[in-house]
Amino acid sequence: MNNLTSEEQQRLWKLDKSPIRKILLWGLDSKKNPCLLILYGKQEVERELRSRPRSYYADAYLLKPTITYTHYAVFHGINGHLPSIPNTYYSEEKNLLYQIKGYRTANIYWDYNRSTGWHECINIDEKYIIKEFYETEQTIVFDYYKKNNYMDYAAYLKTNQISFKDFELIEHPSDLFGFEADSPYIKLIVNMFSKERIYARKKYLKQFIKMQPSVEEYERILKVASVELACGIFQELTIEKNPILVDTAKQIDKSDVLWANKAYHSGLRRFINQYISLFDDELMCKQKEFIYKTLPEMDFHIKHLKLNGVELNDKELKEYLSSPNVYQSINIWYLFGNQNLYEKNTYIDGKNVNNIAFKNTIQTATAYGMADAIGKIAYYLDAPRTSCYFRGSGRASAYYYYVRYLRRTLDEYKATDEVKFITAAREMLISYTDLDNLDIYYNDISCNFFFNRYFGEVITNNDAAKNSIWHKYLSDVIFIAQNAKALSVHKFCYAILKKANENHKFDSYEIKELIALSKIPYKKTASLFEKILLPKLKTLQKFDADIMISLMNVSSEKLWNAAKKYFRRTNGKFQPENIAEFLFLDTIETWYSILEDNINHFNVEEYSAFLKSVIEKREHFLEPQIELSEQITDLLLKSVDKLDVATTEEQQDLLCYFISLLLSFNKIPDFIFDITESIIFSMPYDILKNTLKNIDLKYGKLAEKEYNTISLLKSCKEDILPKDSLILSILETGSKRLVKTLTEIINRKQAILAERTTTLLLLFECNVYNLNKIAQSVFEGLEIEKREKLHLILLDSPIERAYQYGLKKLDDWYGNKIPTQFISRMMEHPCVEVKAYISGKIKHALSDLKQTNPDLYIYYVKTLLYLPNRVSKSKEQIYNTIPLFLKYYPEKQQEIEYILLDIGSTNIKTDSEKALVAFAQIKKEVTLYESRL
Amino acid sequence: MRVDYKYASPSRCTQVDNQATLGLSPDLSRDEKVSFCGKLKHPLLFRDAMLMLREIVISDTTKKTKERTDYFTWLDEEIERRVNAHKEYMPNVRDALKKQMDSYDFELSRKKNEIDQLLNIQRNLKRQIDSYDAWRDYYKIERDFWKFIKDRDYSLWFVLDPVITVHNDQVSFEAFSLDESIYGCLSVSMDEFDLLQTPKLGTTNIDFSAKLEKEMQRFRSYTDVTLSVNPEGFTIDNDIVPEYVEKKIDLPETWIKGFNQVSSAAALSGIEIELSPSDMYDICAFLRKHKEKKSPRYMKWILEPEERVQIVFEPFGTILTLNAIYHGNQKREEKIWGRRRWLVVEKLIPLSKAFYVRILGFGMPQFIRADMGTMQMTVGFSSWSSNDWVKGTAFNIMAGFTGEGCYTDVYKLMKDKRCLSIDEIAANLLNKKSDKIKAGIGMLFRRGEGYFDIINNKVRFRHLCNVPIPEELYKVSDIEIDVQKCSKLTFDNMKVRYTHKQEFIFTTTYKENDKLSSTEIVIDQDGQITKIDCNCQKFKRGERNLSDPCAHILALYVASYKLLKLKNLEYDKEYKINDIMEMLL
Repeated sequence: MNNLTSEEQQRLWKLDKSPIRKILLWGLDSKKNPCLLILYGKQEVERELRSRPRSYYADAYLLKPTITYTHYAVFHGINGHLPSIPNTYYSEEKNLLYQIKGYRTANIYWDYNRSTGWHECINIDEKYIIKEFYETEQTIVFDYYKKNNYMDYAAYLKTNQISFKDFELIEHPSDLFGFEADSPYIKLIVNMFSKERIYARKKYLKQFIKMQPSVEEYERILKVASVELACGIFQELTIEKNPILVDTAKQIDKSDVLWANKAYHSGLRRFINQYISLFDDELMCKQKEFIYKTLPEMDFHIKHLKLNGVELNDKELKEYLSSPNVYQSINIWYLFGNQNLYEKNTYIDGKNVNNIAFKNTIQTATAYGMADAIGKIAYYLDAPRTSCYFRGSGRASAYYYYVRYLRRTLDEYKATDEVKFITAAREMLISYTDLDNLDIYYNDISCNFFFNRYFGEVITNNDAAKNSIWHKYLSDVIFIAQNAKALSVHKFCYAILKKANENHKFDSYEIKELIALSKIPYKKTASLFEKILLPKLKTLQKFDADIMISLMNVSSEKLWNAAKKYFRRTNGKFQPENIAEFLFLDTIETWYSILEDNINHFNVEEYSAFLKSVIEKREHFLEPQIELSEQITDLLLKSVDKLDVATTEEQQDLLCYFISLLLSFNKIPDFIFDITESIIFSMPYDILKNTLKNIDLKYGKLAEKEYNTISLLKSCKEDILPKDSLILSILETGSKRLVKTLTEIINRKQAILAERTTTLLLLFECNVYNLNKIAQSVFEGLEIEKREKLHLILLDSPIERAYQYGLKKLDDWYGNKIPTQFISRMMEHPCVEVKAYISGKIKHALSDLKQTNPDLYIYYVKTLLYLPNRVSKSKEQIYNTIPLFLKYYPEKQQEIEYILLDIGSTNIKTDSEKALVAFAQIKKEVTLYESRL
Repeated sequence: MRVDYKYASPSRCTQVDNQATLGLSPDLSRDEKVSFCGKLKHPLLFRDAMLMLREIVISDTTKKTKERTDYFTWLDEEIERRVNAHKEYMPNVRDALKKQMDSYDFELSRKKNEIDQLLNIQRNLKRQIDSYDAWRDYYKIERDFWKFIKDRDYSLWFVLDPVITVHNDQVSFEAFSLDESIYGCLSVSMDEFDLLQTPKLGTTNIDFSAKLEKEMQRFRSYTDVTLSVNPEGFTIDNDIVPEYVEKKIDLPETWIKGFNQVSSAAALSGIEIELSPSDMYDICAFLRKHKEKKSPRYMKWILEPEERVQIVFEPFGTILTLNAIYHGNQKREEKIWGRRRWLVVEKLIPLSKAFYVRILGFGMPQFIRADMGTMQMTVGFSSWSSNDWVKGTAFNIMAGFTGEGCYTDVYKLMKDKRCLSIDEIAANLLNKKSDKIKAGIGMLFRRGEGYFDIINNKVRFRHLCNVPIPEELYKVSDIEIDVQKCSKLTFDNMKVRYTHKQEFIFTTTYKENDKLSSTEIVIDQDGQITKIDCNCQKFKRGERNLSDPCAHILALYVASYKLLKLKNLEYDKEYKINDIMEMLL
């Protein structure tokens, strides 16, 4: 092969399959629409080339210089516009031409059989076969290596009178595009209309735009341009933010004329809208907002998964998906595109990606220069879950298209606009997690392509780390290091920061900055900054509480020890305000003993200062919401006892402070509310009452907790018994301090309680022992008439402690002679205990029951007698009362007899016997009565 | 299925003197704004019935396993800690560490002794100090108390709210127990109320709290009780900001599907036996007295035509003879599991005139209906207490409620008429085929838009949820599709034999994917399945009884049910489908 001539070198071909060459021509069809004609011809092999004469396989081929174009295809435009240049493939075996349309290409695959070995197969979907594909009737031969231009081809065809079906050849491109043949643009225009590869066409388009053509010149092109070319023009103008064609774009947008079929034309509209929005702030903001809002939806997080017919719950799913290489596993791989793995959103229909929406967002973000969004999308595409989804669901071509598109965008940023590149990279790097299988040695486009391309080298190559552009953006590297979630990203940052440190870039950093950097979760990076920090710390001679607290907030024992040394060396002392800062420490559990010691050693003045300092900082607890541990809130609540030794003035001062805090109605954290409430209600009642004299307790509508506190304060101030609803609310939801103060008020107002029956019932039913006792003493001291009335209510209570007390008092006061009104009330009590209680006492009351409803007695009898396997003694007593009852109510005999016979027929001997005996007794007494008559 | 309930206020029971209002807050997120206001004529009866319904709602017979969450949390953390430690100190470092550790161990044990001594001193001192502190354990006790309350309240709070429906002729309260094995429906006739306003029909979930239950216990015969369902809620006059009560509940799929299965099972025919209160008393008294500790734990109902019903309680072997008479045609023995659940009806014994027990067959649910005059309580028990209503048998298929049918027409009709029997629905939809109508009714149940009223044998319109039920909960299930496929093949090889015992034996074979399945089903003259068999894998792997049937059995049952009306069949003669068709024609 070495002895080939330079002309032969040109014809050298190293692939096994001979190339199919194409020539693109323009023309008009019978409807006078512009159309494309593509000639296809196979460039045959002249001879095989071998490096050694005896070698079996040919190493290369020498192609023939001339090509006979045997086939042609015609592509029609509509409404005066050329069709987009199709990406076609000529299958020689099947003698078919089909269209490769992005990822919906006809399926080419490799198969194996014993006779032919591995061979390429093709499955052509009929949808993509080009029908207007013909064999040429005359011979068309061109020398491939002779530099022919369009006019040469046209002249050849004309001369040889070669004609094509429904195609009239345009001899001069200027006739079609409306530019003079000697125009400086014509060569570019011909190329951007005819080059086979899209990126070549794009290159010439960019050159054309760079020449700053006029609107009129643009319009001349747009007059015949295909949808594809017009999209390109508008996209490039959007990227360059060039408003030259805004009016034209609006006209096209408004027009109903289709440039191609509807689906294609809608693509043009998309680009036009992007372009128009660029110059309309409101529209652009809307689009950007939409992109930012829907960005997380581009992530392919699996939300539902059914394995072997069993749907995993959230916890199981999370656990399953965090196992290594899970997305590549067979279990999931075959589910992509077949199972509803995702939530429905803008980009996913639950099962599959909506490529139009996905592509649109990528293109819009690129057009608007949204580098952060580009970075985020690049991360999403890099993550194994996304790449596996696309490849597993047979959408690999789409995936590679997106990756290629973003790669070109990021490369361009890197070459022309570093700030944008850094912004995108920042977003990308802080998004990676350890579950994304970042592996810089696995150099495969299918996974983590972007990470390997832009950051991998820095980790593996010392020189790359040294000369990286990132040294100009150290603050960004620090930001990334502080927020990174993946080990490989930390390694990347460390590589840069290490080199920066070697160049003394951090020497000027303040101690507090270095402390913050020592908190970086990656050990190597953290210790890098620790090493810079420690010598600086040693030089400090004066205690600074802020530095001390910052050091305490780092989770490094080394720094804690250094902090302790620093504290001792500088004779440090914390002020109460500093102790309040402790509550914000992430490491507060470690320093709990110091916090406890300090609080315990506070005198009242210091403690007040501490409390006030905590209160001043209350807003910091709300945003972001800091939740203190139970241990610490307990400590703070317990510490309130320190105020017991405060002077009256100090107590009053604190009361005023906290009551005004409460009345300010600003949102305060729960623990501060609890402290406030504790402090207020821990004060002696008289001091509280006196202090409240001068405070106006005005309030509007409040939440229940605040309402209870302030209402109780109002009761204290006015020295009145609170309303029942307030008492109930405090008893149900109030804190112990609130209940304590309520008890104190009620205790003082015992005299009024005698008039408030419902309040007394509340106190009987609540589970506060002291209040029960107060209620009992008031009840026992009531006049008999009032007492009996309340006693009845008490016995009606469904709360055990209340009715049990009522029953006890019945025994104490009446013994066996319980007044009838009690009995009739108790007969319909829902609790068995109460009903059983009166069973023995009912007999003597029956004579009085005559005035009441006999049905009630029957209800009572039934509810006890039909109670399986319980209260047998009471049942016996009830059977004894039945004859007496019937004496007063003979009309109820039949009903009672039915009950007794029904129970008498049961299989439970004791019940049955008792019922039948009672039945016999009734019958006997009736007979006796009748005989007397 | 996640649903958000929104109430204007919590449900509240207020009582002033002898006027009580049971104010139920309806869920505001529903389209139909239901409202009702009526004074009860028998407050005591209502009170006891509602308390019984509440007992159903909170009953849970499932075995409680110890969760030991704290232990497993610790275990997870410990494993993670160890894994991290391992990663950090790689194996080769471990040896060096071990040597170092040995030397420290000696030092450690020495120091430990010293520390122990000091700790003892400290502990004694602390004990002495603590003994003077009255509040020493206060916070711990308080915490434990609130945790206890939370735990207690949580189970009550978690109760799936009952559903109240205001119909033209009644107000019904439906609920499931916590373990979803018991279904309860209290139907209160409109005759029970003195209406104070025109009711607005509709359904809602009610906020039925434990507190409300306590307040209901205060109802007496001398109190005027008004039942009020008011969308505006019930507030107390104070300055508290009225806050909407919002509950976010993750409704279990089984809860939603359970309602459908209850309705389908209710629509199946079965044996109904009337029990007197003393019969139910007998059963409950026995259950109260005897707690079985070993299997078998069923009660066997021995039913002989026109004889008193006998129940054998296993494992004791005790026989109870009830007053009730069985009026069926054929002697039968029915085993019933999960009998302790029957104790929930105990409270209704004194209030009921009679109980009606409906038995659907072996491994099938049972229904008990308590007749309290103007109120009726229906209690449905799933086959076993460990089974909710969804596990096992697909009652909707057995009842012929398969597919979608003319659901849209049935929905429109029911929304308009509210309550119709299946025949009345068919009469209203003349142009539709009866199987399509049945399927449409089935879909109505499945979508939670209706239920079967076992008391009146009618379909009632009722929206179970405030939002449409997700498709996956009502879509035609795989087994239904299989049954539909099999149904096309059922008649091909179907044979019928009528035995001396007056039982129908239906057999057929199905050929699917070159596999032959022979299926047999025996139905007695009461229409009850007495035996089933199939040699397909699905059936063999399962329970091998009606609680877990295969598609073949279900398809054969659906087909054979239509042939039970055949008369004048010769004993033990095998009839092929052509013979049967000729007879029918």
